[in-house]
Amino acid sequence: MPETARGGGAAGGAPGAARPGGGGANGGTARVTPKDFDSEHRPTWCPGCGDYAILTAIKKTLADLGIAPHQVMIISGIGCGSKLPDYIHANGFMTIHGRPLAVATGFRLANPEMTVLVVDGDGDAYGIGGNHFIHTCRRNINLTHIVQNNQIYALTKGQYSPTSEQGFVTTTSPDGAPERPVLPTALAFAAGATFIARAFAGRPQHMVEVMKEAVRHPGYALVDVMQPCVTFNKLNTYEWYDQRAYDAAAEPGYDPADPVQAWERVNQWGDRIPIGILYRTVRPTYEEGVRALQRHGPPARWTERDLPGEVWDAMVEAFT
Amino acid sequence: MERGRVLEATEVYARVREVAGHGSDEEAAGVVRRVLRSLARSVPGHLCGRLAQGLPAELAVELEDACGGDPLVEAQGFIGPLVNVMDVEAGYDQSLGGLDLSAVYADDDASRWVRAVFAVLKEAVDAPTRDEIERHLPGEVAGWWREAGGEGA
Repeated sequence: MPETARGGGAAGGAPGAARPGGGGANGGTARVTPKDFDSEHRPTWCPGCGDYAILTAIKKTLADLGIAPHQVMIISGIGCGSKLPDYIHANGFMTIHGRPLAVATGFRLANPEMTVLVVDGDGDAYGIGGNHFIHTCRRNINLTHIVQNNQIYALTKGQYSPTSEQGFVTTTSPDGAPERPVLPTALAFAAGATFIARAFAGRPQHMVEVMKEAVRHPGYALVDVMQPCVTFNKLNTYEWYDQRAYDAAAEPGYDPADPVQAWERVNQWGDRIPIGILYRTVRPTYEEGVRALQRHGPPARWTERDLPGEVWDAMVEAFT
Repeated sequence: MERGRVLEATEVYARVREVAGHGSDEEAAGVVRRVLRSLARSVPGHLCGRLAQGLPAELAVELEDACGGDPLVEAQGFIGPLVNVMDVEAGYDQSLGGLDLSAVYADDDASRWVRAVFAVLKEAVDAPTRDEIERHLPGEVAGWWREAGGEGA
């Protein structure tokens, strides 16, 4: 029996309500397995890349939650990791650089029954897409944002990114990156995110548990994954992360709902880096505040009767 | 291949260096340590313990911390820490033309290095433990373990 996924917000129901269906999220039909998400395309990532573990963890997460391939939309941007929708058998949408959260917002409003994952890298999410990141946190749109944070632009062969360490030498920072890096967990907290977590690609089983909680969360959920770039980042290696990462949940008095504790945790980076759920609270989602959705249901559910004749005819003409 | 005496760490490095073609014992030592840590992430604690008993103390310590046997560690995750410290090679980028930095050739080296370490480690455990370890290794890494010590290791 699969574990229960968070609600997608069926038409006529609360957007945060439980997903319809009997046994599992896929309506109690066949058991979903990670293999159901296997794609015919072989990843072109470098050998040993942390993205492989993230791909595996996403498949396992969805299978464990009983979400079938047709029930999930994976939206990405541009970057090594953003090629992921090609490597997983599910609905996918590869957008332009930095825009997956904007596209995902539109998608959620059009079809809130689907589970939506946004998967992109640190450059895409926190650099060119930084504006969308802040406002998605603030709006609390019901989606899961998995950021493959390797602290470098890898697809373009090694330029420093918004999360690169100060002083990091790259092709675009020959004297060392002059600026302080973005700390995405702190930025997300300040922007009003309701679920903030970090995982490490070198601990895939733990990453799956974090991702499951993120997908279950009713609202925007950030999972910032420390993902070693084996080729272009020789500073933040598997070992570097492994020596610093500790499970926040194992700390005495751990309470992810306590904002004071959380503020300390989301700001911690350096010799010790917390992984796991750093902060979690519940607030109404953006979808719940969109009155048109409550009045008319999502566009994916509209029929001929819901639209003026000329609008329906125009849509039929456009899409047939 | 049966268990013999516990090798000195320097002997382990020298043997790995010889088979893998490393430039120095220091380089071989780094490879041995990283392979042991990857093993510790993949293989359950009791097997790490048995393997540690057959290793010199300075190598056995690498198996202590991470033992837990994460079933989701795959071949790519196993070699990741190794590839992370390899030199980037220049390859021909067929999509854009010209030379380009790429790690695409690193997996051949990683495979060869891992098998060189495995060949020595297999001598540190008895046959049933060898088989049990193989069952817990991911995908093609299990094949490297099985073949290590034979021809081409």
